[in-house]
Amino acid sequence: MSKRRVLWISLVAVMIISSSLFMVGAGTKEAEEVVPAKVGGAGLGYKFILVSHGSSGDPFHSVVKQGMEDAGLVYGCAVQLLFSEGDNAKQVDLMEQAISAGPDGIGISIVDPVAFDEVIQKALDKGIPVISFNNDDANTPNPRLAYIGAAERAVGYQLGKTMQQYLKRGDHVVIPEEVPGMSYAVNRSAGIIDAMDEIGVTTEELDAGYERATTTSRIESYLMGHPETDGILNVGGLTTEVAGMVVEDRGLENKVVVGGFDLLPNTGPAIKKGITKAVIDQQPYLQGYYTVVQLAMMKYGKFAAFDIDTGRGIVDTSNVDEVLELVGMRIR
Amino acid sequence: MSKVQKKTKHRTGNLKKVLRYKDISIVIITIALFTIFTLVNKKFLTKENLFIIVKTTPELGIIAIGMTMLIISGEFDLSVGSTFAFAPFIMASLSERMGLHPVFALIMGIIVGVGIGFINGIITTKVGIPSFITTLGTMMAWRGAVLLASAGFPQAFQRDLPVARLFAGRLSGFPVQFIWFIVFAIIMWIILENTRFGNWTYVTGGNRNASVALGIPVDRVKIINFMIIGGLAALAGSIQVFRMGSAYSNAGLGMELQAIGATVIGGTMLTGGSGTIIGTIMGTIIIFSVENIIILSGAPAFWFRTFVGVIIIVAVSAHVLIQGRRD
Repeated sequence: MSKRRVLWISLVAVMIISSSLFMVGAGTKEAEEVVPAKVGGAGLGYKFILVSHGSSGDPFHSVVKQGMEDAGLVYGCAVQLLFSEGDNAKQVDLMEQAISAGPDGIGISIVDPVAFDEVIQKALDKGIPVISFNNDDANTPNPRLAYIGAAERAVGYQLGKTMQQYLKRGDHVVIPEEVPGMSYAVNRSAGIIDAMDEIGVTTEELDAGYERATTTSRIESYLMGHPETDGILNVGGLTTEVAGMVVEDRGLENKVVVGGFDLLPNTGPAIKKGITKAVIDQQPYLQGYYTVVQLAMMKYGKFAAFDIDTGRGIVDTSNVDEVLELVGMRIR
Repeated sequence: MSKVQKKTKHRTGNLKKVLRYKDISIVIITIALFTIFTLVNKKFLTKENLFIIVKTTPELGIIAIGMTMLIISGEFDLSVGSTFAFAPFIMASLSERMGLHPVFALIMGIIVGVGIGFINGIITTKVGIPSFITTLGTMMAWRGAVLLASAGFPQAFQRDLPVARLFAGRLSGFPVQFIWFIVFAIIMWIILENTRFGNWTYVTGGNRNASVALGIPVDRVKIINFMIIGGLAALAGSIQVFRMGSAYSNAGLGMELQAIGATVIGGTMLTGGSGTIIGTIMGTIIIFSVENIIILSGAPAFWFRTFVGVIIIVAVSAHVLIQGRRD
């Protein structure tokens, strides 16, 4: 291939990709313009860093990010969110880097009972306040000053309690988990099992994977192998969405009930059709928003830190339309 | 006997034309596994269960056949998972946000995938960076680009559009995407086994220096194979968008290793120069079938991955042993 030809083809390839990005970027900007009202800023000028275990492509964490950024705008603070993509060791490294940057406060999602104790203490020793958000270490002592979020086991129990009305003694429920072993999965499934035990419903956990083709195949395979299944109670948003689609696809709407978490694009329609009976919205926007507000107030008024339970919004047929409108605005 | 002469010999005979010598062992393994799985659980070989397997196999399988071509030519592509997310996101955005006709949006998405493959190929062959490094870099770059474009939020796409039904609908209950998978596999098989380009692909991966001496344009062969896998990754990602009704920025995570896994299980040598499309089809089906039977049989959640890993190692070992005896 001649050099000139290579140059031309490269140029065309780059032009196609960049023009696509430009067009998509223009669309993104348009979409962002409808997002939450910006009510001006008090101009506090503080700088905060949030270190999350989440993935930057996860819609749930994108809403946390939106809440954090909106609070930054309202209070006139610079905020930065770092993702470790589920890697605990990387999250500790990011926390070290955050400390080096010398912010006015740090928020961290604590997904391991001991891994973050030392680095959190290091930040506090340097005079940087640290609070946890989204995930917390409820089992062992931890020096973080407060927790902003929901108690995972209680959230799982809340889902189970809500779903009790659709199940009866002797029924069987599967609990698909995207990443078995992660603290959210362990605690939420424990909460669901507590609620199912109360009414004599048997449960089984399923390693469902986190890629949609795999998750679809595994949930379908489970239903095929376990026709006695009466419910799919999910611990994460991805499996909640896929489970609703699988039940509809297999025509099991009148046999298998679905419940779970969050409102990914296909979950809202599944609730409207009555396939997915209810989902718990962890109100991630508030987790990002109040973390920044709390850090700002701690710096501004030297207020003592305090825990905030960001609640458990239940979404079902009674309020799904209203909530979906807010999903479009990236608030829910 | 040189590899080229061996290939020429293989082309004679009717059955051998379809089942290359080295394909026989993976076909035997697949039949053996299906027999064992049916004995373990009689539901395995039911139409309903096989539909579950064929519905989700194509998304990985289409990428895996592109990966087979590329690995045979002596290169890797770790960026396929990111292309799987990025190009369909462009497609969905162009259609839903910019109002472009869905068919043109799909074509644009595939062109973007082909363009990504071209960039991978140019950097690898012209700059001289190993493809492992090139595509490791572009894997992160394109994942970052889709996050930037999406801000982490899914992009909706209408599932009831004709183009979506054409690629991910049902034909008398049968998932159409599997037909597309087979169509693309046949096209790739014809290219690989019956064209001069396919011959060049084998020889380029088998012995680069000899290929250059024979006057084969090795760089062009590799670049085209990078472009093929880029386009196929874009198409596979689009099929998932058609099936789900949304383009997700976190789609395709870990798919690069699954695709390489399916290719290797199917008998393709990681060192290049050897491999078949039929083997890869079997490899992909084996991956999904093993998961399926383990779930059907009620394996506990925390043992699940262990069982899958062990069965795959056993299957590949049997494949190697059978092939070794035949050789």
